[in-house]
Parts: sequence; structure tokens; C-alpha cells
Amino acid sequence: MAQVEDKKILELFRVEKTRNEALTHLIAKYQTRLYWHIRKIVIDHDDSDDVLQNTFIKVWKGLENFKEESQLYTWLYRIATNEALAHLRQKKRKNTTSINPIEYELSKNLESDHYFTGDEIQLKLQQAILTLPEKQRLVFNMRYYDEMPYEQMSAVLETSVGALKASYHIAAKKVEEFLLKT
Amino acid sequence: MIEEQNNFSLPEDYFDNASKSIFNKIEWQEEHKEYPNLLKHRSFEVFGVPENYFDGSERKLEMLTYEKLTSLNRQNPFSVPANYFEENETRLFTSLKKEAKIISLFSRRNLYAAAAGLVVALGFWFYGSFFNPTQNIDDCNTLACLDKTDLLKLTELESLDSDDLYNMVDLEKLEQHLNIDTTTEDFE
Repeated sequence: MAQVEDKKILELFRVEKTRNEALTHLIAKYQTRLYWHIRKIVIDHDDSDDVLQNTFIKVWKGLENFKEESQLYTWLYRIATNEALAHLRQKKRKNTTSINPIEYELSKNLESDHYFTGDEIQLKLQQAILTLPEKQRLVFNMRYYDEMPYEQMSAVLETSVGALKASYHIAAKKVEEFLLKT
Repeated sequence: MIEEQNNFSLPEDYFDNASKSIFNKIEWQEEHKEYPNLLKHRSFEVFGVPENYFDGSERKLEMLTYEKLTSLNRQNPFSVPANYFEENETRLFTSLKKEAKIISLFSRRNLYAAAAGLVVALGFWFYGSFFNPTQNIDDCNTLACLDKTDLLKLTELESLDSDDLYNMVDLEKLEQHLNIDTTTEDFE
């Protein structure tokens, strides 16, 4: 399906008769991008699937009040990020049986994850990323993998470009050191 | 007459940006009128850059410090079940449609109807409160302290004779009640 411009999606959404069409375009255009963004945060496929669903439900409920002051893409990323982080926090609260932090559990689970196809060095890289604090991990993934411009990242994470640059370099340094050490 | 139809579109703020750019060019030409050689030899092709230099250069530059990271083959190590995205599209659409039905309960029309119902209910309540007042008096456990309307409502009283009624009145409490009333009145 050809990608439809965000402006067109919003126009279709505003008319009750064409709302379903707007929904189809919205899912077709953004589900893959949002999925991969979520997956890098929550790691597990089934969890990512749940978070993606919740994200689209939130988007659908909130689209009526979406102010076109920001870009639809930025707004969607923001919702997906918040949903993914909320999911992780919920998982942390439930993780009462283990004394290890949830990030350690995620990193351990990767070793046996059926949907992780990376080699040893890729596994090490993911483990290194999982040692980073929440915000740094987000910034690192968005920059290293998605090559998201800092301006766009700033709109998504509501943080200044300067702070994001600093955050990325601290994260990259930590990951580099982790890789060199192990 | 054939109606003119415009099938072309332009980038947003095109005319605004174009006019700024034209003014800037005119200004630049005016500034350099006195320097014909500068105008003549102006060329952007004297400096070269390595091939593909501008492709992701910002990222490349910032990665220079991290040799190990740069040496890695940047790939997505995660995978999804076969046909996940194709099937998920339909699944998401269905679940969102269900959700939309739930949301529609709170649609503007339904909210207006609920608000109207609330107004009517409040209206009845106000009417009942102001036009059928029930005096809330202190209960002194004696018939004398009951309101007249309450007394009228008590149909069982109809079957009581005067002696029964007299027994129901606790004179001591009645006296106490009357004294309180008098005292209050004195101070008012």
C-alpha cells in the first residue's frame, strides 16, 4: 500500500465516514517503525506486540485532540516510548521473585530468545545497551540504529538537543568500554 | 467557459520562502556590484570532498571515537514471527475498531444526552427540595417534636385514642424542648 501523507490521514480521520480508511493508513504507515522502536526498549517480541497494540489504542483515542503543532510522527513516537517505558516499569514491579534488575533478566532472556538472530558480538552489544540507564538507552537506540536527527529526538523525548548529544556520547562511551572489556 | 482547474501543488510556504530567497539574491548582487572579479570567479566547484562524505557524516564523525562500536556490523539482531506485520495489520485494525465502539459511548452526542439527563434530575431534586419542604427539626423522642406534616403522614395515629396519644408524649422532654425554644428566642 502506498504511504499516505500524515496530513491526509488526519483529514480522513476528521470525517466519520472515512475514519476506517484513516486507521488503515495509519497502521500501514507506522506499525513497523513503531514496532522496532518499542522492540529495542522492551526486547521481548510478545511484550512488544502488546505495547504496540496499546500504543495504537492510545493514538486512536487521542487523535481527536491531536494538535497539529507537532508532527504526527513525533507524537506517535512519544506515545510509543511512554507505553514501552510504562510496560518496563510494570514488569519491574512484578519482578518480585528475582533479586536481579529487570534489565539483567532481559539480557539473560536474549540468550534463549527464539526471535533474536544476532551473533555473539550482537548479543554482547545488546547486553551492553541494557546496562545503560533508561534515558541513555533510549537515546542510544534512536541515534545508533535509527539515525534519528537530534532535533527530532528532542521533540520526541522533550529534552534539549545539547542534553541529548551529551547523553548519546556518555552512552556510546559506556557501550564501547563494555565491548572492549568483555 | 471551461473552469480552470489546478492539478499542481506546492510545498508549504513556497511563495514566502521563494520571495525571501529572491530578495537575498538581489541584495547579494547589489553588494557585489563594485567587485566584478569576485562576481566573475565565484565558483563552488573548487573544493572537493571525499566520496559519500556527506552521507551520514554527522553520525560518522561522532562515532570516530568509538572504534569498537564503529567496527561492528550495524544490524538489527531481532526478528519477528513469519508474516507478523501483514497479519498484525488486520489484527490491529479489528481491535481498534472494537475500541472505537467503546469510545463512542463517550461521544459528544452521548455526553450531551447524559448532561441533559443530569440537568433534568437536578431540576426534580431542586423542585422537591424547595416546593415540598420537610422541616428538619430536632428529634426529642416525643410526639410533640414531630412536624405537622410528618404527623399527618402517620396514618396509624388515626387508630389511636386520646389516652394513647397522651402516653406517647413524654412531658419532661416536651418541657425541655419548649424551654430550649424560649431561651433561644430570648437571645434572638
